[in-house]
Amino acid sequence: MLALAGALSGCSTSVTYLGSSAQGLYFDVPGDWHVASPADLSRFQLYGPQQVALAQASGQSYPVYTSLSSAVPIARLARVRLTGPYPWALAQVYTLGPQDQATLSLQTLQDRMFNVDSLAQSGASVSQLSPTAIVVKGGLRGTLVRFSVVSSTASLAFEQVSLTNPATDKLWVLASGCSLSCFHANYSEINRLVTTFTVSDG
Amino acid sequence: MGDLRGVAARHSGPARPCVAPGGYGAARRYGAALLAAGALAAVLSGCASGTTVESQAQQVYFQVPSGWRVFDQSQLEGGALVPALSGSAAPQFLAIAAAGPRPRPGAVFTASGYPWVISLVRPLSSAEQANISFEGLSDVVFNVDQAAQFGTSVQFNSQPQILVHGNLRGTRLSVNYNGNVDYVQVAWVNPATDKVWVLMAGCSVTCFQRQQGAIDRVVQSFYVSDRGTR
Repeated sequence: MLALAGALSGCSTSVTYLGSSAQGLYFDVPGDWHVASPADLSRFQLYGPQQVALAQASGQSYPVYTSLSSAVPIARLARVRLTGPYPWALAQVYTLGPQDQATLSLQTLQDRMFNVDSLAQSGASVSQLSPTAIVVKGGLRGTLVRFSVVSSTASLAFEQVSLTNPATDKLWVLASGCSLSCFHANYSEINRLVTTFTVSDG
Repeated sequence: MGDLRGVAARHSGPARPCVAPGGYGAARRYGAALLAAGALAAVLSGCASGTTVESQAQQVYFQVPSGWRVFDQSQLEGGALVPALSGSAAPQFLAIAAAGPRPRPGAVFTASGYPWVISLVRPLSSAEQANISFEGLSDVVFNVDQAAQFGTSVQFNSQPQILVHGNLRGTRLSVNYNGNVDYVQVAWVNPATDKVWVLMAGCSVTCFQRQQGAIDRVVQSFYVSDRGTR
């Protein structure tokens, strides 16, 4: 995982540039957000090296880049909750396995990071906050979605943009959100960072 | 249905269609005489090695051997074939070619003793746009998956191929249908996933073995321009 981070200073609104030139992904988050270290990421069990190796060997999809950042205070970054009161941004780039390559559709992109269909089937109240927007950038295609998920113990709302290439062997995803009330309070910031999502496929 | 696992994308260069003497200008002048009101032109041009069928509006071209009969969209509308095609929207381009002493458009998708070709361009519905995948392209002209669910034998003669041509993506399939029809299908989709370009060519199993060279040349000639196919 090659992380690229830089910060602009001396501006009234600073940002931190994130992404990976090797994976063709670029986006930025507010300058006062904290970026999770690889050690932090491993605690979230977001696919360790062993799981990646297993997925590769069995022809399944696996992430080749992961980045998590959040407005949560730095001391609590390692324990940040996606359903918590601080907005976060989670970006992943996947190499798609043959099965996903063959069956991926615009509809299935929405479940890539948070399987809203499964969550709804397991009893959570899932609402789509706006119609799915189809995104086309050259040969890249994808979707922009906004969902809320409410269970008896927590709520989550997020905005997610996904893009895949014509060969459908690679997938770029960026999601940003937090609890439902936090999402509404910070929506302009969340929406802004999602719009910075830029993909370059070779 | 449609095992595309283990398939690597094959980046396909455009196959140049055969051009009549005088170039595309001659073909366009000939095509203007065939233009039906409100319909897109299917331009036929005679070439030394075959007949080119093209629609510049739909950016699609293919070639069939001389002597094959070509039926354009105006000759096909009103028949039983068009309603039988997958999809709710009318095709924006439709052409059929058939070989043999008595070629007929109804030979398409049958165990004919002579090769047939069908090519169409049509919009994808909102539901198709959301749900179509490489695997689903096998049903974009005739719903073979549904046929298989009702007991018709549908087998892939070879591993399906994923194709990429600029911004377009697609598949090439070789299928045995009902044990007695062999056909090859190439289908392309645009990035917006709201349009599909398809060519299918086939006949009976014995005919396919005998005519495989000619059928392969037709399929290889199928060309969709990447320009403006957002």
